[in-house]
Amino acid sequence: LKALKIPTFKGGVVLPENKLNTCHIPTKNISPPKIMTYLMQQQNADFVCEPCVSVGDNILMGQVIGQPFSRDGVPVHSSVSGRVSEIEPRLHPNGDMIQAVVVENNGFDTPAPAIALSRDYRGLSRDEIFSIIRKAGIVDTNGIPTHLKLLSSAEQKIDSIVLNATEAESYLTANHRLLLEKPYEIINGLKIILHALDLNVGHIAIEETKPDVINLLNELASREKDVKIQIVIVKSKHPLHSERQIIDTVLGRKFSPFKQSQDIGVAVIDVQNCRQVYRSVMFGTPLLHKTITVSGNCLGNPLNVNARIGTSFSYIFDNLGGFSSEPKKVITGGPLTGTAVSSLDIPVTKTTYSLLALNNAELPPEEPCIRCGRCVTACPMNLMPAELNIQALNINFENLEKLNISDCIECRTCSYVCPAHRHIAQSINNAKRGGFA
Amino acid sequence: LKIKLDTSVPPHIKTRTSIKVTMLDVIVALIPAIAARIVLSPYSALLFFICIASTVLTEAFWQISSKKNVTVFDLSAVVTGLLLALLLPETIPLWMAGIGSVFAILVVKQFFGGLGSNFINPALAGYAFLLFSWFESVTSIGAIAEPYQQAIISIAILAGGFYLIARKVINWRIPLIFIFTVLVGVIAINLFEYVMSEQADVINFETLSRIIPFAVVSHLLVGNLIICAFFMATEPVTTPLTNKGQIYFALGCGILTIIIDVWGVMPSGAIFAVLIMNVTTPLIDKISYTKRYGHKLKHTNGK
Repeated sequence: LKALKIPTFKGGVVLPENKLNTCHIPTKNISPPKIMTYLMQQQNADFVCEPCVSVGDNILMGQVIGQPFSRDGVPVHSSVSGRVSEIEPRLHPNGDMIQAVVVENNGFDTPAPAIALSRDYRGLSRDEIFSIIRKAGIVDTNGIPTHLKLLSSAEQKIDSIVLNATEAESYLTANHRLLLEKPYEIINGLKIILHALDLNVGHIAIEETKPDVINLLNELASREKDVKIQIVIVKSKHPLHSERQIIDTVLGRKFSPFKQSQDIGVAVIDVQNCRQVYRSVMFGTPLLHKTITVSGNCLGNPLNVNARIGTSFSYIFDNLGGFSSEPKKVITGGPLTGTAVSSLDIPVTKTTYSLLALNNAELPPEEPCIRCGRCVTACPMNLMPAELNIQALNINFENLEKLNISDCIECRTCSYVCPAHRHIAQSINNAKRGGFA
Repeated sequence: LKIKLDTSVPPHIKTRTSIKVTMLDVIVALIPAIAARIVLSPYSALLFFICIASTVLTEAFWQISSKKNVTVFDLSAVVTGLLLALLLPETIPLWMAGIGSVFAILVVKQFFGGLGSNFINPALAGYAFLLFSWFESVTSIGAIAEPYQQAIISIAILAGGFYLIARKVINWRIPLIFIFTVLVGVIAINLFEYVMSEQADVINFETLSRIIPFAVVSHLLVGNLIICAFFMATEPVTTPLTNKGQIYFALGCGILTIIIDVWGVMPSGAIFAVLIMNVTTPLIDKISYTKRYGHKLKHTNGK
């Protein structure tokens, strides 16, 4: 009976899928526009870069144009060849003005020298592979550089790798398409990481709602001889993108909110950076492309696109034939965790994986809490969102701390399930950042 | 191409359910019971009408006169009126039922801040108010006097309760633990009394088959236990938030019901059991916080 049970985690919510209109259409390659914008803050605010080119420079495709300030950071590369036309602040998806390098594309795509040319990863040592991953500028969807996630902490060696191939949020199908179209690259990327860490078992987590991917992966995994690729079929439930929940589901290990996944010896990687690891180690190309789900109820023909970093959102939407109706909101990221952007001039960054044009801007008005407890049942971190909401609205930081507000992983499940449409997650997140709700 | 875009913090989508849908589900769940009452005693249709009209009009009147948003369309007042009418006998004078409804909505619900802020169940409080004011009228045996008729209504309410569980409006914990506790307690007390009594015999299948059906019929199908367990003790506002707290709550309801029914002077122990447990809900909430994720140690609770 235990074998029949689909592994999952406590809490969470099954979201409406809205994936059918994009998951069967092949990914479209989008040629780069004339003007490319490279933000010097590609991920979160911890990893900011400094331009290392000046206006008028001629640059090559794959050339480093931004060097990280911190030792842990990763560089920014130009995804086209051309001339640097401007270096000035531009709008970031989170609303800040961030220093950016604007490049005029000459259309030749003249490549810069490759960062590595090995073609056989088996001869490379762990440090060589990590150095390639760092130089290639690979980051995961949360913006954390991949080489940092693979580093073991002092007391614990990394003993398990989980490739998180799930995307439980509505609309998103980028992982689904990538797994169907480039399964070899992804499996080989996983094998490179396993080789670097000297492991021989890798886990791939995939939702039960994708039988085509499961069949394909099972077939490929059965052909592997020297490493074991274990396919774990999990229940499609938000927030599967969260490390704690995916590790709990796949390996059954729980770890306290004070710890990182490295502290219990697990590294979680996602599909896009697994594929990029393969391309960087084998062919020496840095991270230049992202596969992006372009969907939402305002688009005539939604699909997945393969766009270069630096392409503006409006160019991608125009390339797909524009909007069928005027959107009220454009979201980068999933509908529960993504950011609503204020302008379409924002470029694709390393952490962009979806663009959703939605016309339901107005959320229903707040009603009084009826203490139904759905947020408590749905919270994957065992918090009491209803109580936290009350304390956050009262700006009572002492009680918020006693209620363990810092454990919140900001999955916004509580706000989603609330029948009174209360803005629970919003007030908790505000209070968490020290602001008042 | 210039488009005006809204920005806001996530989430950007919300569940389709709302308070109104929840209340509508409760009304649908009560339809079998209402129908059974009206078929068995057509006069009770008037009682339902008076109770609903007075709860809805009182809420609207209070909210208009105190310049608040009128929220009668969330249907919570309708549910209160329906539940109160189901508790009252058909023979009660209609003006009494009206006064009980006004008390339930105005004093118990609106004076404490409206939906979500009441500390006891309004329908039960309205019933208790009427019971203390006009004891004979409220406890009089109505037109539905025969036990089998009461059993029909109880079964109709039970069907509605299972509908609510199936629709995930309520969960099974409170009603089933409540009823189970009462049955176990009543059977145990009956057995104890039988053993202690003069004509005590060895406990065999025959005595058990005499005592257990009596306890089941007299407590489950006759009286207010079923409606209290499925519709009153599960009212979200006045019950604990967590599953653990709800189990404590249901156990407390069951034990108090037995105590009041067996040794108390009041009729309908389930109603007072739920009212008392409603008051203890904030205390239960404090001792039943969820355990911190990934921690072996017991975590420090809020407050």
